[in-house]
Amino acid sequence: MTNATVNRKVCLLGDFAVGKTSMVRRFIYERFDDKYLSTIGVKVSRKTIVVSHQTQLINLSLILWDLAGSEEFDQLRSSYLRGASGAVLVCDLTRPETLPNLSTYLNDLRRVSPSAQVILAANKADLAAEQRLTSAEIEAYAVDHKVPFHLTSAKTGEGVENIFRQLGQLILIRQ
Amino acid sequence: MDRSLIQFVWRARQIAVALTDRNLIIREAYGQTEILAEEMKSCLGCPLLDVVPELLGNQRELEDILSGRSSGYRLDYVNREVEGRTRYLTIEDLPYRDERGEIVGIAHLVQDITSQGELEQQITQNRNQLILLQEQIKRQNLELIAANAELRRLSELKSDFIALAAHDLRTPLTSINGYLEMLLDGQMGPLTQEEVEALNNIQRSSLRLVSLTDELLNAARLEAGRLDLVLKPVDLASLVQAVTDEYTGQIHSKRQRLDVEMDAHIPPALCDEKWAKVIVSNLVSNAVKFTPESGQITVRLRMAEQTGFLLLSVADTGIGISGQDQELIFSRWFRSKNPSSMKAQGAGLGLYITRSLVELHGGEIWVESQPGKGSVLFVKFPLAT
Repeated sequence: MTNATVNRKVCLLGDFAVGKTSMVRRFIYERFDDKYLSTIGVKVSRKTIVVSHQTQLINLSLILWDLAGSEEFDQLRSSYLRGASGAVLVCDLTRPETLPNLSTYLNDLRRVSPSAQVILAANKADLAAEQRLTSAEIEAYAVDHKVPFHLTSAKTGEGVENIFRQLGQLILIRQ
Repeated sequence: MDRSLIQFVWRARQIAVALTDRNLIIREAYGQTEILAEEMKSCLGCPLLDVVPELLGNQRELEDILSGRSSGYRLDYVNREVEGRTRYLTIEDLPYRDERGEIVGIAHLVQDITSQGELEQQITQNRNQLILLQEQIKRQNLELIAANAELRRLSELKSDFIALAAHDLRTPLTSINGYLEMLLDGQMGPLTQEEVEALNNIQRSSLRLVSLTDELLNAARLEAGRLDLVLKPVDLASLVQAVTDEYTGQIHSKRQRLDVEMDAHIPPALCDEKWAKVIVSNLVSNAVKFTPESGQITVRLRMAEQTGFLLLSVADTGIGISGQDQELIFSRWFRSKNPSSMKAQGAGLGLYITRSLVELHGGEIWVESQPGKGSVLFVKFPLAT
């Protein structure tokens, strides 16, 4: 038996071209497009998942804020982050610099929404030959920042559903 | 204010306004209301949060506006998909006050900035793709640098190996040649004519091996950068004469003609005498090797047209060098595919070593040739003054 729907705002954060928009598209529409299209500003989408929480099944409506990763939106990001219950930090396994850069986004989030739950998605796991970040490096970063992580591929769908489900659980536990 | 003027401004600037009560229920809407929601008419009386998904999760901001704690909340570049095209909006929520100044709801302002957004998106897209390309080039450069370093390491290993092998070959050859000379001098007893001819053949081959190991050693030294020149004024005219004299025997045995022409009063060149001799010797040896019997070899030493240089040229009436091969003759291990050239012995290192030595001296080397009409090799040596 499920209860009434709970709405929660979740932001996707990370450098440009790491695959934030592709992850949302995979999660919501189960689709993938190889073509890179930069997001400017914010695109809000919604998907409801059923999550078990304390012996209950909860309809959790995730309101996904796909935010621009480009630098010129740094000033605007704080206004987008307000009211976020959770965030998915996304890095690109083929671009090592995208992992440490996440700290800036995490700091912004902590400042605006200190109680937001965070999960790390190391994306583009399908590009095995081009990977320049090791699992050990990602794990070390995740441990340092006390966030769980998953290897994901928006292209194949690997880990994408798990990321959002686990984040949903964390949000409900901490609410 | 004229109502039609207000309508004009709203239409021209693509602005819409929705006014809510304190329960965030939309009570009035004005302007380009289609940008508020797909069907704005049916939204009158609906909760603002149902119509504007971007406000979900931001109820706190709206409460702050209603309570007067916040002066407003703004979102720029909000993306909305409309018939497959992205529409860019600016959303702003402000306190809506009555005549007494009391906050009675929210004024929800929306402006369509799609033209600006599309331009911004294109600029961002192009810039991001450029950055990605730069990152890719940077990574590939680093990979190339690493690969290059590895190749250098392997090349050094190879040079070391060649130098070691050549050195180890050279030592027993010295001993062989010593005993051969003693045998040929009759120091170990008289020899028959047949024995002398056999020993002469062995000595020629042995000397050929010595020359080959010397070339290998020199090439290895040059590649490893372990060849130090001792530059001093050298009488190049005497050196050229001495080298050509050494080849007299070979030239006579091939019935070739040798002319040595030198300007009077050739000033000294600035070079390492030992290695300058190798340069001249390689050029003359090459000419002898590739000139047929009864051919002509001409060695000239004169002042170069370029001030501060001497010009040495070694001309032959040999088989000549094709235009394609002229580009390659100074490369390592180069052997021409011309059948006449292939008969000549050699490792293909002589001209490579010569070029490297000439360049180390600050000189220049080049060839002029036509197949079938012979070749001229030119070397410029810097003057000592």
